[in-house]
Amino acid sequence: MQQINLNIKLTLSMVIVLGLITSLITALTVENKMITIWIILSTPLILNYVISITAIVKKEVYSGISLLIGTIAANIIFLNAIL
Amino acid sequence: MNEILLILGVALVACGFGAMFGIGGGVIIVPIFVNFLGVDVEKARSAALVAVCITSLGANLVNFRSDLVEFEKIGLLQFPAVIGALIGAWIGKLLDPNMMRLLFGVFLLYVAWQLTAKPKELPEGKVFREKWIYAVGALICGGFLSALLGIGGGLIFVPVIALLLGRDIRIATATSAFLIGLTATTGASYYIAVGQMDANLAVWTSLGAVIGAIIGARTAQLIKGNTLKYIFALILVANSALLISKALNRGGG
Repeated sequence: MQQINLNIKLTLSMVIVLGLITSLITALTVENKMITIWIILSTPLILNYVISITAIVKKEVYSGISLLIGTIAANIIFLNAIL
Repeated sequence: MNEILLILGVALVACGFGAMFGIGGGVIIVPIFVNFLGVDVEKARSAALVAVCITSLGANLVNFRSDLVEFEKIGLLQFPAVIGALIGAWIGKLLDPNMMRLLFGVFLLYVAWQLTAKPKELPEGKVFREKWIYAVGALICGGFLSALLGIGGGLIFVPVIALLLGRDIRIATATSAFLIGLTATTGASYYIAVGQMDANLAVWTSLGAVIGAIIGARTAQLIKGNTLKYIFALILVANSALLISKALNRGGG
């Protein structure tokens, strides 16, 4: 099984930690809790974009492109919800 | 205040289990919120989806470090499930959900039996391609049923990865925990769009979910693979019983 390299793992972990911390801060400080929901929901999208691009770069083209299309579809629904 | 503590507690336990078995936690959150807290089903579902999203993130944080998620193949699994979910949402109204519940309940029993049965030797080479074709087909059906019956994608992702692709149950649960993140995001976005999201409830549920997810994912790594497999089979049986009873009650009433 191919494993992703350390830098990518670090980037992904940082995206998650940043997402979680920002959600926590907004949840406790901002009155409009919907902002927190948007931050929570956008974090997996960012994560999926990073992974799909990484997969394409690592020559796993089919996997990367199909994940990218799936993520774009989810992103369209997400944008439709917040706009 | 008591209600907030209750929400936090329920989310913590539910998402702990969800992260442990790669199934999210909505299966536990929704019935408790509806039956004990008097929350509307739609609001409970939308809050559970946000919590599942957080569960996925928390579990990823632990699982990425342990190299349990197969990044390179994830896209091949995610896309068919999304396609299936779209088809399910599109033609769902044409089918009888009770009949689908009944059939899916019986199917889950079969999956639970297969999961605990003695593993078969999986030949390599040409069969690898066939296994992927079956897996893609299964995930389209899984996404379809998930949208149609409102069940978690993890109940389908885990057996597909473990049985059809022959991966270890730990890898299956960790990969599933990743996959449910995007599915939950899509579902939660839909609930926001139709105005059925209770932001306060969702945020408090998510706060409990963060802690539960991290504890759950760590605990899963301490449990033996076989034990994890048997517990997951039990979860499948419980869900199957729930689906069948729901189908029979509605069919009769």
